[in-house]
Amino acid sequence: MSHLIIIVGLLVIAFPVWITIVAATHDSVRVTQVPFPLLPGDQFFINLKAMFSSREEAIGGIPVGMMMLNSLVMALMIATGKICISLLSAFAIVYFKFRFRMFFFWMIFVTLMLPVEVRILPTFEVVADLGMLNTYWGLTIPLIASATATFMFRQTFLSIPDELLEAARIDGAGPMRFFFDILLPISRTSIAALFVILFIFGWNQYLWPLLITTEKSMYTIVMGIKSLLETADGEPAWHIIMMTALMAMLPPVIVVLCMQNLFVKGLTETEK
Amino acid sequence: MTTLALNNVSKSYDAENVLSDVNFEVADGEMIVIVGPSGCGKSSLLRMVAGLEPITAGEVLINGQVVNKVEPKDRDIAMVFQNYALYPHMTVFANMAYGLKLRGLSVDAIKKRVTETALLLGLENLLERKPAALSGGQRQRVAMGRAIVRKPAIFLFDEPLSNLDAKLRVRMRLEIKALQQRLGVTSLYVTHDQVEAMTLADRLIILNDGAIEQIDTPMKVYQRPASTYVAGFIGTPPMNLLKCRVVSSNKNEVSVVHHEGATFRLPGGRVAKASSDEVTVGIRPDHLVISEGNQAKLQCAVQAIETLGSETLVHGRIAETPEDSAPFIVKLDGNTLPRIGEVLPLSYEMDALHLFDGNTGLRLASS
Repeated sequence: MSHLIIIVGLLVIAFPVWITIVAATHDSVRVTQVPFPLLPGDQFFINLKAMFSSREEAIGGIPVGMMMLNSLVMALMIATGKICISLLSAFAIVYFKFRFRMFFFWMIFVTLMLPVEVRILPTFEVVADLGMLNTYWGLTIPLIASATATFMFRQTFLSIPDELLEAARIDGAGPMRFFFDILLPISRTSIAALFVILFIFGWNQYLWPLLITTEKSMYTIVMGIKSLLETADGEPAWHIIMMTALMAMLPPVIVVLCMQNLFVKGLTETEK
Repeated sequence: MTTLALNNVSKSYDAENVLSDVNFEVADGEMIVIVGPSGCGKSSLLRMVAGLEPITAGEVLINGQVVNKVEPKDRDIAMVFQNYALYPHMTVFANMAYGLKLRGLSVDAIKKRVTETALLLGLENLLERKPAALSGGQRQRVAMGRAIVRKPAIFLFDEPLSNLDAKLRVRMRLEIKALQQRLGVTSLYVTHDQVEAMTLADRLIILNDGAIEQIDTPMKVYQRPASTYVAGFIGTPPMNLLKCRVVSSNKNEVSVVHHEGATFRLPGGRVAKASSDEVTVGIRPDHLVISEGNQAKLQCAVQAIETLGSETLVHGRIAETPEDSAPFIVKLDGNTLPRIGEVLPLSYEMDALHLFDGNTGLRLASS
């Protein structure tokens, strides 16, 4: 019985992905026919080649490679930026005693209630005034400040026994030495887990890039798919769009596959 | 030459007083063990010496220098923690080398020192392992190694053996003792285990509720406990303590004090020093013997027996006292097996009796 539920659930999730794969392997004529084909065709490599090489009006005139690169840069900048900032702020909150420490902690906590969508207009205004429209900085900086990651690192740090800090102090390590020599290596798995989550978070950004990029050279792949639909002559090239969508799914999958060992460890490991 | 001295050291967290007016000195090469129940402030005391905890009042002196404001790394101390606090991501070698590296020693010098220390502790085959791949006893040794390799002026031990199983604890206890004597390093050792304290210490400090009850050699502490607290804490099974009322007291003659169902005769001078006619008489379970004939000074009603092989522990109460009166323990040799419900006639030497003031709990000495 429980297997049945799992299988049904799997089908519900997997079916759209399957459709995407199937659509990406047929030519434009076959894709628009009814009934829709359920088995892959033989056009995969032709479509792949078309997607990367073609500059036709039909696919919006934006090179897919460029969009992939933009997405990659954005996702990497968001993931690394968030991890650096969160590591440092969690380090400060856990290991340093300063005035208003709890106040700052709650300030960070409160930002959890303010996702990008809520503060999107003022953020846009700020980014525009700073002249960061159509730049990587504009794409990433507003998304970098992160309470979730700070939280997770705080929990990781709190689970590290105090004696380790004391042993390091007696051994002669200052705060930053302790941070780099001991804290970072110990938090390695948590960092990896967060990297995976944040990379996918960054990669899948849609609304924000849509708002602040007006030049096609800054388009990211996720929003690029949308722009592929808006072709002048009305007939979207579904096979190419699906191929592009497939490409857009690839990097997160690769990241997860490569880092799944560390990822699972980071989320479940308790022994420090 | 390394000496350590504490002058009127106090510690409080917010309003709560954890330690008050602690004074003691540790001579060069001496091993001092601080023993007390959990929460008596012994770990705070050690951490203040280490510099991990600010000192509320008083002074800590190392080699005559006040170190209250000196950073832990500059105090020339090394500490062994209860949970070892090994760096989990470093190999045994790196764990021991880390402190040396931060002190700027050359790679060759570090290698030499670590290898020497590893040989001393029998760790030479484990140097490339990570702490997770070591047994409890090996981790303990690495923690020791990390302390020794720095050649500190003072060793601080914070209950280093309490995470080990009983058998290993006994072995490591001997090893620590041998090592400390061989290296001759001034040491301060904190434990709640009185056997550990007795076996390791050159001198013992018994701490109770933030204050020092007694500082003396283990033998003296055992033979002449300074208070009822020490008497009850040191020695297994603990000393029998009986609240008594003075019946007659005279400086030069034998005084009589009375406990329900039992009467004790003591040298007069000691009893005369009591602040009231309430006193506590103590007698160790080891000093009671079954008396032959009608020489019995005490009758003990047997309630339970623990057979340990080499000895038999009799738990009971003094005969003809109510059910809820103070428990009384007698240690007999292993071949004597009294029956439950039996009344044992017991006797003791007058010298074996300890006398404490009923109000202050302090020892009343004869001279």
